[in-house]
Amino acid sequence: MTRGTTLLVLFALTVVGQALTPTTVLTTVDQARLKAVFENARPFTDLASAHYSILGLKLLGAQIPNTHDNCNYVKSAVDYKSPESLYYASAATKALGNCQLSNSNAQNTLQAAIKDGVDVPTLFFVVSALTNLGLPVNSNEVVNALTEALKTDDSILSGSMALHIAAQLSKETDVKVIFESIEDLVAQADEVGEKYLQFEGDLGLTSFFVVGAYRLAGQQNKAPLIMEDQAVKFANYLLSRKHVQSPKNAYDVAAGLSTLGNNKYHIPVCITRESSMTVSSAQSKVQVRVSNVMSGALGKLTVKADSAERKEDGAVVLSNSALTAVAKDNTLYELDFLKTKAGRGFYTIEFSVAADKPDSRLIGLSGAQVEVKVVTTVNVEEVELSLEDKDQSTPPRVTKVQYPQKTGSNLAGDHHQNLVMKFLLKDKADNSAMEAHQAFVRLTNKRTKQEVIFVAEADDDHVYKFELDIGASAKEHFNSLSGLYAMDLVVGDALIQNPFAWNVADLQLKFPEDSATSEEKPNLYQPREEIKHMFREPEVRPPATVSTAFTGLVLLPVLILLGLWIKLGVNIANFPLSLSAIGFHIGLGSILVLYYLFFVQLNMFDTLKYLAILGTLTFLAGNRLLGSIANKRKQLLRSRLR
Amino acid sequence: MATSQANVFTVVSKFYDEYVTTTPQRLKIIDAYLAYIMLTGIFQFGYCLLVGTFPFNSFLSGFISCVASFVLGVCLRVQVNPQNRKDFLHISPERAFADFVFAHIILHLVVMNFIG
Repeated sequence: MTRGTTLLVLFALTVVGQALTPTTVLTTVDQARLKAVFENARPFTDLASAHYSILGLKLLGAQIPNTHDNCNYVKSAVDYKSPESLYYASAATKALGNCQLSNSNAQNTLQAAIKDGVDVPTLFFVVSALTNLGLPVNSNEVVNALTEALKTDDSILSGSMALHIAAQLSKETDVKVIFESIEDLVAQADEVGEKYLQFEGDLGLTSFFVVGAYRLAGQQNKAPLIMEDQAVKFANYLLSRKHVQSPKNAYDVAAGLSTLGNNKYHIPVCITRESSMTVSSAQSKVQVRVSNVMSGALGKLTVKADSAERKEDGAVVLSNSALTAVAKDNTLYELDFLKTKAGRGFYTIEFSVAADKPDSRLIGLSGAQVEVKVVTTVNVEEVELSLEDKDQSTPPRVTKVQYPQKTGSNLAGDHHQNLVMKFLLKDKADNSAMEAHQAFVRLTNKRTKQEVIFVAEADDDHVYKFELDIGASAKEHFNSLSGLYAMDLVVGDALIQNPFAWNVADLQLKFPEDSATSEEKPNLYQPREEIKHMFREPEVRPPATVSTAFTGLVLLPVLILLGLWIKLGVNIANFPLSLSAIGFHIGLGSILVLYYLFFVQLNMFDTLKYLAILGTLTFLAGNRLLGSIANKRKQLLRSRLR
Repeated sequence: MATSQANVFTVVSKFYDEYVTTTPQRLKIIDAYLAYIMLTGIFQFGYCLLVGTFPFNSFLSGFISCVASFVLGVCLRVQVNPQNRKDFLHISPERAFADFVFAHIILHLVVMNFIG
């Protein structure tokens, strides 16, 4: 049983021992930027931004310019009837120092606001304003009202406001319930990626909670129920938001971080690399800054590098080396990395910190990691150039070249030969053969400046070999362009201090004469030939004679119709010469004329207008006419029937 | 085969004779008009087939004018035919003619608009 619990405790300790450390720090540059945000808030447009700007500058220890103007602005912008306005104004005047609001007016409003059914925000504004103005606060009344209000309001904002309120009441007040709510509130925070802890993604809310929790804890002299990991995660979240632009957000960042930089319970220790990432023989020292989140000093510390692991193969090159403090800056510590005789590569160094005078507030003391890269100088040796015949009939001529010289004479290559180049790259530090990330052979046509780049590959012994079949590659790479080519060896790597492009030799290459693709590829960067806009061609029309012929053909049936009607004996003689008859026919005719005019000249609206008039007349005439015809017919029918 | 050809010919000539004798004159006038419309439509369509559809809207306008006129003519003939008197008790021939004219006015307005 006891062994089990011991094991469990040890287990828990090892887990806790893998403590979290802050990801970064609020550097002096960041703080200067935040100060600039505060200073740019003037001229102030509203009381809230004035409040945040003034308090922010005070928090960052900067001088508040134009104190008198600020005071006048606050005094003119405050609304004595609103507790919220009084909160902003009173905090600002308190920060400014020699600025006075009208306490009597304020007191009336504030004390009248604490009544039955008051909500938590109002209580917060009232209590804070009264405290800022130095006016008396009835703690018991406030606590009762607060407890009552919290029964119906369980939002995180109100919970945080309760913390702030409780921190400002007298010491004797019983705020145990509110103090214990810190644990519940933290449980509602959202964790992101095991690194950040925040409330609803809201910077203001998170900062407000952090400030309130530690404020109340300080006042009650009891550690807040926040775990060390959680405190570090809050710090990480606030640090991740340090690039904000508005006064309110900047104040939230500054307030939250300065609380975590200086309180009685949790102070996260930040370790960040101060020196350049590159470690070379010229600068062999790795410098780190060990500070609190506000880049402030933490007193005398012992900083140790626990291990340095190489990324490529996991080799550990040092363990348990102490860093020495830098004289001029009490947050800087340095380590001579090349003393470890570490070869070139990317290293992750892990640090741990211990305070000379034990301070239980410091957290995140181990596990901080910093990355450096150790670079080296490269030498290229044993460079051999040779041109071998493809059929291996004659032994190849080998030319040895020494860096940085060039071959004495031009090499001449033909399309039945192979060009082979061998070389070896050596690390100057330990004279071992190495491979580089970029090892290219570049051939540039001296006349046309066209380049072709090949990759040189290394075998298992790190010997680089570049082989070029001159005949086979003629078409694809060289466009069969014979001529003088400059051959450069280009070597580069992240871990090489002296990357180079070295003109090894000049080659005279001769390609087979066929397929003279001598047309120069059009230079892509010169103006292209102009495209002339082609207007839409009109449709192909049939010749006029065809159209006229068909027009005649279509009009032919009219004649046929007239002929047929005459043959049938159309009764034109019976045309009644009455007004309605003539009117009807003339009306119809005029409508047809109107349509012709419509086709030629008029638009639809005018046509409809005239049509209405003519149509009405025609209708009336036609009605009369047809009516009379109908009557005549009926009379005829009746007379026939009799 | 001669017999079937002869049959067709006799049927057609008999039909023609009966048509000439039994159809009242009014209907013959309308029939002549319908034949005229049909010829006009055929000629327009033939032009379109031979020469091309440009301009398409004009062709459509003309052709549809012929078709619609033919339809209206047929309607007039049906309504005016005394043999169909029972079906059109409330529509006198004059009323039919008035409808015919009215429909044509609207048709020609639309055709003139579309002919472009």
